[in-house]
Amino acid sequence: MLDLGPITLRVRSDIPAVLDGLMRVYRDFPVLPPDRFADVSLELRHGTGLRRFARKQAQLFVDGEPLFFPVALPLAPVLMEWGMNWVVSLREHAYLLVHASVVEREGKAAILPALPGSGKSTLAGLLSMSGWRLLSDEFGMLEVSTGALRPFPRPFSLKGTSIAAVRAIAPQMETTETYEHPEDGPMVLVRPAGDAVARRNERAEPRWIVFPTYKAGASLAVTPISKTDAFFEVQDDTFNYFMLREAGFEALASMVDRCRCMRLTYGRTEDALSFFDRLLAEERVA
Amino acid sequence: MNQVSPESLFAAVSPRQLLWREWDDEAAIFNPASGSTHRAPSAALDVLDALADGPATIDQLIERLEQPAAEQARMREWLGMLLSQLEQAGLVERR
Amino acid sequence: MTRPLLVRVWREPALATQLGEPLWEQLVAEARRTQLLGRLAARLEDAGVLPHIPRGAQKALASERVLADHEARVIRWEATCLARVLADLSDDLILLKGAAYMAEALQVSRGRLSSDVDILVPRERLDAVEQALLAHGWAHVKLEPYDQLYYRQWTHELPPLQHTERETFVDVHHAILPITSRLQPDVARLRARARPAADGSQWKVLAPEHMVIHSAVHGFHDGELTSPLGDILDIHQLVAEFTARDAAFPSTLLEEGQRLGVQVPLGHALRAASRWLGALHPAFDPAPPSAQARLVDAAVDAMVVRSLSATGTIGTSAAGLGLYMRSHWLKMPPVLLARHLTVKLLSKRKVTGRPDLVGR
Repeated sequence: MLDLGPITLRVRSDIPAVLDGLMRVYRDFPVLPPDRFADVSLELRHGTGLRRFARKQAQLFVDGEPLFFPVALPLAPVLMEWGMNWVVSLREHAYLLVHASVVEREGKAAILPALPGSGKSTLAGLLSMSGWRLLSDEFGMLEVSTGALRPFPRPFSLKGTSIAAVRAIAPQMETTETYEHPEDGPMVLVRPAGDAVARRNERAEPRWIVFPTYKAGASLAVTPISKTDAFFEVQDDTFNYFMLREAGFEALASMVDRCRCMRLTYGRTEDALSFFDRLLAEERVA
Repeated sequence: MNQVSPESLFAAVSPRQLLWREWDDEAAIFNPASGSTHRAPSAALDVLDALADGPATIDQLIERLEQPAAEQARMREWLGMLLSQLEQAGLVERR
Repeated sequence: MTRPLLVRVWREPALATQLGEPLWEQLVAEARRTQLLGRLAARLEDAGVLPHIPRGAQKALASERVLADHEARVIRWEATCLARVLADLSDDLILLKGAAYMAEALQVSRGRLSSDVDILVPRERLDAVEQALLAHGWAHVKLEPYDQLYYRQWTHELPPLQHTERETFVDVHHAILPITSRLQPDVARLRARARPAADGSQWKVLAPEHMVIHSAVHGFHDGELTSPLGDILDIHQLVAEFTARDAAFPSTLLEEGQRLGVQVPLGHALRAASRWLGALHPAFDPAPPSAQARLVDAAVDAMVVRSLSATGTIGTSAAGLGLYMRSHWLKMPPVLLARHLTVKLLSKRKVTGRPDLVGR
């Protein structure tokens, strides 16, 4: 039973290798007594069916109900993250759930919406290894009652060449066992860096909405966009905006009010990292 | 979509319940009844505001919006288009 | 019989304040599984016990209320939009089920999850209604040709229509049971006794006794046994509220059941409601009238228990098929049944979700 900040998570598994992998990336989170109320209860068990295949597969259960198809064992921790995302997106309506990575420094947060091909996980991963705090990799949790961003600092996933890119600036990075996805190549989960987990209840003020695009070899380009553009683009990439109605509108509009909004194209890690440091420096002056 | 005629009478649908934000020359307008959020030129807010005083024809609207006489022909055309869009969005209805 | 936790807390909301966190976790899981968490939240809110339960449980209930409130407003808006399109076609438009409960602001509507609207229109207006909806943004859900035919030939409704922008569904009924059913309650009588909805809209709703009868035949005679405890709760809440308003309601209900020839499913429904959620009224006989009725009562109980337990342990699906067959048996002649089941089994798909839908 783990305290993840916004939610408490009960994890069970009868597969030792899966538990080992999870503990490697989840070990910073406080363990709670098992008799506490779990917001989400997940279980990973060997798949059913033909025995010799089943032993190599894991099936996810949410509150006792099977979710998704069974997957190969090394992918089980990633399956658990998918399951948790799925459940959180359906249940946590005290927050406007924005499909975005969020990083923070000096109490100020940058929201990186997760457009396909944006490489936001990689960028957030890089930033989290370079002095910024990772608030969330998948869900920007905008707290409806306060308008602040709630950290949800879970292990984040990296794929393909991103693994090496992040490891280059953070050789000490700890991950789960590498899983070779038939189409996407290698995948890992990374232990959140620094004090992200310790500060999991420390909220941040939204200040920047940055739509990133990674383009190999491109030089850094920043284009300001209108707040109306930002509002509707972020709205399209939320999980529960429609459900929250007035509260959702107010939360999102207030966030956009407080943010500088821009598109960022980058081709080199160093460019992107120094750009974010510059944003922060400008904020200090203002 | 019906053609907008000078006699068409337009009414705002519960304008006092709408939520909106205006940024530069655009606005996001939330309609609590339908749960939809609409993107509109910020002048749409002036039109909805003018309609909050009661249903109006296009000419009455131009009067309420205190437009200079020289601009009226252009205004009439522009309002016709805007009202059709607002009607489609369910923010305005034709009486 | 030990009652499931959810049923015990529903009957006695004060119990909620005495549960520790592990039992609360179990209670929330049961309520989620049966899609009753929002209704439980409303029930506990009315009882004033919410401030005295664990924080995690408060959060779960509050979140579910957000969802239920949203769906209620979706339904209200959908009913408004439907009325705009259909008002010219008939002055006899009737809302059914959840949408009607909401229009009447009944207890049973509170915390309810459902984003479909069910309406009843005169059979002779069915084509006109379908054409009007198709002309105003609704479209037929892609059905296999067999299913299209099945709906049109043998059921009491049009194939479901979905609004292409709002994505909400409307079920257009012209009767309350399939045309092949042995029971054919006189729908003209239902329509004649319908009354304007309390929300001041253009819609009508069924008379209280007909609302209960519709719910009873739908849950206990129709094939839709997917939410046994929810169906039983509906009956219990409706009858309790109508009886509180009008002391003569129980006898009106029983007489009307006789008159419409639906006393058997009504009896099953009333007995189940009293058995599970507490006696409703002395006028309702708790004893099943026949050996066959006793068997059906037992099957209903088994379904309730099964719906509350996790499906994580596989091996219970045979029981489900049994009841599925029973309810279809009651409404279709055997030859039709065989044909329908064959096609259903052949086109059955078992995909519960794509793991990569989120998380990439």
